[in-house]
Amino acid sequence: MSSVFERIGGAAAVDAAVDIFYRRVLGDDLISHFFDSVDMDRQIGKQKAFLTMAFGGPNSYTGQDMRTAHKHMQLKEEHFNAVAGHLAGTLQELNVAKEDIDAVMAIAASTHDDVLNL
Amino acid sequence: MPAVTFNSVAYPLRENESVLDCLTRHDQRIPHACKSGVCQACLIRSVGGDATQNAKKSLKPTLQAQGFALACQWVPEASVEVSLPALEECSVTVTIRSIEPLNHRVVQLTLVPCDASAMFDYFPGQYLTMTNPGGISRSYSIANNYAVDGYIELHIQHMPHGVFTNWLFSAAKPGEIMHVRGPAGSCFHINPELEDYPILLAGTGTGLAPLYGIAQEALRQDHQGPIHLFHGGVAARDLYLAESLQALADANPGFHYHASCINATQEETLAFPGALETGKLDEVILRHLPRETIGQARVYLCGAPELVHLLRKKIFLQGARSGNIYCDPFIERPVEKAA
Repeated sequence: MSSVFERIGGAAAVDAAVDIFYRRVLGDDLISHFFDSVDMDRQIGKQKAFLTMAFGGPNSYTGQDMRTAHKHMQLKEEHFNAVAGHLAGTLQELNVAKEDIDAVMAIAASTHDDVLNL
Repeated sequence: MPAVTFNSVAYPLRENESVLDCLTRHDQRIPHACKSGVCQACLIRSVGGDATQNAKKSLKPTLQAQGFALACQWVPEASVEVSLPALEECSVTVTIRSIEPLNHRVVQLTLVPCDASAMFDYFPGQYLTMTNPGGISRSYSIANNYAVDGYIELHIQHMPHGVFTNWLFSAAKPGEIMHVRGPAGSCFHINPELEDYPILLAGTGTGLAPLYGIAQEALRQDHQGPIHLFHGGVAARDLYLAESLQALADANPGFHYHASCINATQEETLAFPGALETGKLDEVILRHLPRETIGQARVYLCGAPELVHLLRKKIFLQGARSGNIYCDPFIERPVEKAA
């Protein structure tokens, strides 16, 4: 069976999703300050890497990377949930099949403890 | 593993990686712009060996003979050594043609190359680096098309403590010799498929220079989509070229000039050629944004970095594609002597 990443369109799906996803998080006052960097190209690059990982695509993320990258942000449960909600919303906007959205959300959920440094 | 040696350090190459990508990945500062072998900003010298045919083929034979190659087109098969050319080797000698005031603190500087055949190709909106007789270098955006006008036009704002502009505004005279090198920057108009997308251009101060160059180039190429140019200032006197831009709008139905400032007296508003809106630049832009077609628009933002960042975010949130927003934040650089 093919991976979610392949089923939803691989790197092209990431390209299609990244603007929608980034626009959603940047427009959400609860979390926008975590994403509002002067270097928008770099932010878009980071979000692409994240989406590739969440879609089950090739990536080199480790749990330790996740912990280190998010440590200084003092994130709470509500921040994690907001980002997860925008991820699901992005996929819905792109008309991704429900079972594939569920698979992506399961991958995202698996990062929960590392992102929140629990 | 093959490597690129630069300034005596060997940087390992990845598979199919260009010299430019390898060096920039290792935080080495190599001038570059188009990364497609067109602009020639990434001119580099091959030391003790030949570059690939692909990296040399678009260069003049004289440059090829001196060992120059384009770093962006050079994918080495074995280890190579490179160096950046010195100022005199790859800059164009120009003379000052004119220095004319555009407003209370901005001048229009025009330059002509001493040898027209030595002049480089560029896209209006890209920038060049200019070195004055005292060896001080600064980068400025190019506001016109040399191939059309026969001279280079720059807009330069006086910086009260700026070594370069203090010289330009007090001592520089027509006929004086300078050196320019370029081009660099990705803010320019290129539309080979002749698509009719909207073009949004916005900036403050001398951010107008690249925007003016891009707008004129799009009009010259008969761009079929609407073109909106927003120029903002704190006060009306900070704006410039208003008459030329209003005339351009009168002559071209697809071109719209939106001048604005934070505060204007009634006198200033009445005296202004065309309409003068009041408000912050981002608010003025949102009033006129073509919302139905913003997803296709090409957006160019030039000027103070904080403003460019703010506008980029607001216009992106309105639906512009991140890859279609081109930014040229003007960064004031510390004083440095040319190499």
